[in-house]
Amino acid sequence: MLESVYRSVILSSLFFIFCFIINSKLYGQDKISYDGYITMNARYEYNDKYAELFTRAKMEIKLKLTQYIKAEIDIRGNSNDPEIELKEVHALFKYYPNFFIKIGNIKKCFGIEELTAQENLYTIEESQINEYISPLGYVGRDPGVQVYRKYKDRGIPYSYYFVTSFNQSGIFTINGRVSYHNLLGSCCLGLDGIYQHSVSFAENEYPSNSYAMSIDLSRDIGSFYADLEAFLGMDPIETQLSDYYGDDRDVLFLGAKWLLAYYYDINSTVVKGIEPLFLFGILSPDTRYINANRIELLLGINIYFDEDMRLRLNGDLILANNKYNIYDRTIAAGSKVLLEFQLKW
Amino acid sequence: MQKKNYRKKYHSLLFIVYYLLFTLLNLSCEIISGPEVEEYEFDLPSVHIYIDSEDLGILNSNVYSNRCIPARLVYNDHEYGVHLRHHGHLSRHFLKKSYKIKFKDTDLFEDRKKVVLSSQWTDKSLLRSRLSFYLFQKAGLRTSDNRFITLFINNDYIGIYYLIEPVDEFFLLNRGMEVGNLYKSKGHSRFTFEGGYDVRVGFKKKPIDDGNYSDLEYLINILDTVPTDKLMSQIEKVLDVENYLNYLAVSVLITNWDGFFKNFYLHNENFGRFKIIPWDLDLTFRNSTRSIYGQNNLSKRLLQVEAYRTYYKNRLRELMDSEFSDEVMFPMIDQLSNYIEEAYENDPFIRAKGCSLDKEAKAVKNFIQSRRSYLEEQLKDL
Repeated sequence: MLESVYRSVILSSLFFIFCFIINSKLYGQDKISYDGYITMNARYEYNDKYAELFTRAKMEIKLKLTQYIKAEIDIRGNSNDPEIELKEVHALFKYYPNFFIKIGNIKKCFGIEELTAQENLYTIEESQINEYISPLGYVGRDPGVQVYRKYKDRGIPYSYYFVTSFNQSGIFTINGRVSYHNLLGSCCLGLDGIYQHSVSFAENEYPSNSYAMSIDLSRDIGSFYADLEAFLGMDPIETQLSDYYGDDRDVLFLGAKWLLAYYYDINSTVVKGIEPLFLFGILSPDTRYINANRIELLLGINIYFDEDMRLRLNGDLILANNKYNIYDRTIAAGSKVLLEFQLKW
Repeated sequence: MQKKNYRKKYHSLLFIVYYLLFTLLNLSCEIISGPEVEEYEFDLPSVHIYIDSEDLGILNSNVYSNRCIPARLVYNDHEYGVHLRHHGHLSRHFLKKSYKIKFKDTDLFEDRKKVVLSSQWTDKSLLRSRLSFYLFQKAGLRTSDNRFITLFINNDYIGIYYLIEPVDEFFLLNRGMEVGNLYKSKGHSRFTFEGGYDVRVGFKKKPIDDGNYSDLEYLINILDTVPTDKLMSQIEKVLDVENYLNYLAVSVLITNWDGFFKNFYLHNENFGRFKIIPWDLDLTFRNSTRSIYGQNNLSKRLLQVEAYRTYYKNRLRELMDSEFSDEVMFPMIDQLSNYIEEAYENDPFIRAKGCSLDKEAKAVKNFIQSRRSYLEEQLKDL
């Protein structure tokens, strides 16, 4: 018991010192901002026995160290996972308005969904195409350097991103995106490319080079949002398997998705607006068997109680066949019903 | 100036409140977890779990959630910091719950990251899984380590449980295998694309699902398309047939009908041949008149090949004459019954159910005898 008391006193003293330092910093620092969200979710996936209920939270702390230097920490947690994740850490240098530099564990810039913070997506979860390319390494975060310019309604209407990163699987990545924001007055046209080179010499690793590209056209003016996106790339895992089965070739995937959302302003006391949305996607994992594909049909509605508080419902149906049986299309894994209450700040 | 003084004053007060609160919190945690009192002492090893009462409430009232609750676990005088959650699918409906325990990377449990504490609620004898694992092991399959334990939560005796090693990357690495591709059969696991089928619906790739199920699809396509006379040369490139036929033989012996469309793992080590690993064996040793052919398209296609049918028949015969005989099984059942008897009889859930271990053990023995005589007849026509 005495030992416990000693331990408590020591721990409390350490906590006291920690609080003192943090509070002093906070009192003296006006340039800290917080972003984040909390969500409450229900998720039922096809062929699961029961729906999952869980909560998620994200806290993003941005520190403005000087006029030109910022630091950002992004921490996330999920009630089903005991570990809190340090998702992103980076330093941002804004010496030149057209040439920002980000260093840290940063996101690749490949596709619209990857460029958008998860809490700002129209859908609750990412589309099947994004989920398909994630394990291939074309999206996600790696330690690296990013230079970019983001168009914000001023100056020449273009944005660019250029990322180089390296991860602990020995994969070196070069990734770029260029977009023009004033096409036909209100549309944005983007072109993305990514190239990965494995410098690992271990046996049975993925092929040494892989690549993917995408093109997107989006319109985000007023209440109406639409985007159309197409992807083409090499599947490094499938290419390796094809090599194993004696079919020595690059396996290419091809996918497209189309998202439409319209915000109806209601402006009542409780509900400020509703936003129905529709997503259609098609993914062919191997262009040699283009008839073998996965079709995604998603219907959803976002009910806004405030600009930063919404209730969302998504019904996501995936119908798939495969190269061994292209005639019978069935409900596929990934079909799900999702419900989320989200509050951002 | 006046304002600044107030601010400083409250600032200092805030620290004092922090300090007092934190000290109290720490002390209360120590007092709650308190000294460990054992009311029961059984021959079986015991697992003591200590959970904060609020967290225990969250766990008990969220049966269908995978939310992980922090806890302390004591086993063999070693204390682990763990997280636990409910385990299983349909078993979550049962009165006596099963739990999955996750250990810290820095303090693994016998080189394992996770273990399952399974209540085996559908098996009133609590012997079926133990006997099934034994038979699969004797037939040459890799099986999970399993043992009986008594479970205490916050010093309350919860009952007798199985501590089972899950089939995961640690299972493979601890047996000197490479992780490769491991697929968990999660229900509706078919071995045919007939009528349309997405393998991702029936199987789940572990430990990381990269979405690529090509090797499994390739195996299924062989079963669907290769004629019987060429099946042997094709299938043996991608499947350890001997391993599967042994699985089939034991499954047929113990009527593991829950293990043909779910409750198994397929492991493909380093783009080699698939091997099957059994899982979840509580629904065995019942209904002794099940078919000698087993179920699913994989069993059906393999048994169309004469050489495989002969091998299968011989293995069945060997197992029936050796491990599945009264001489081997009955003493084992008696020995296990004696070992768990006291913990079984004091198990509050089993007591509430009004089960008798003698009666249940006898039912298992009866099954063995009747199953063997049924299969003797069936073997003649195989």
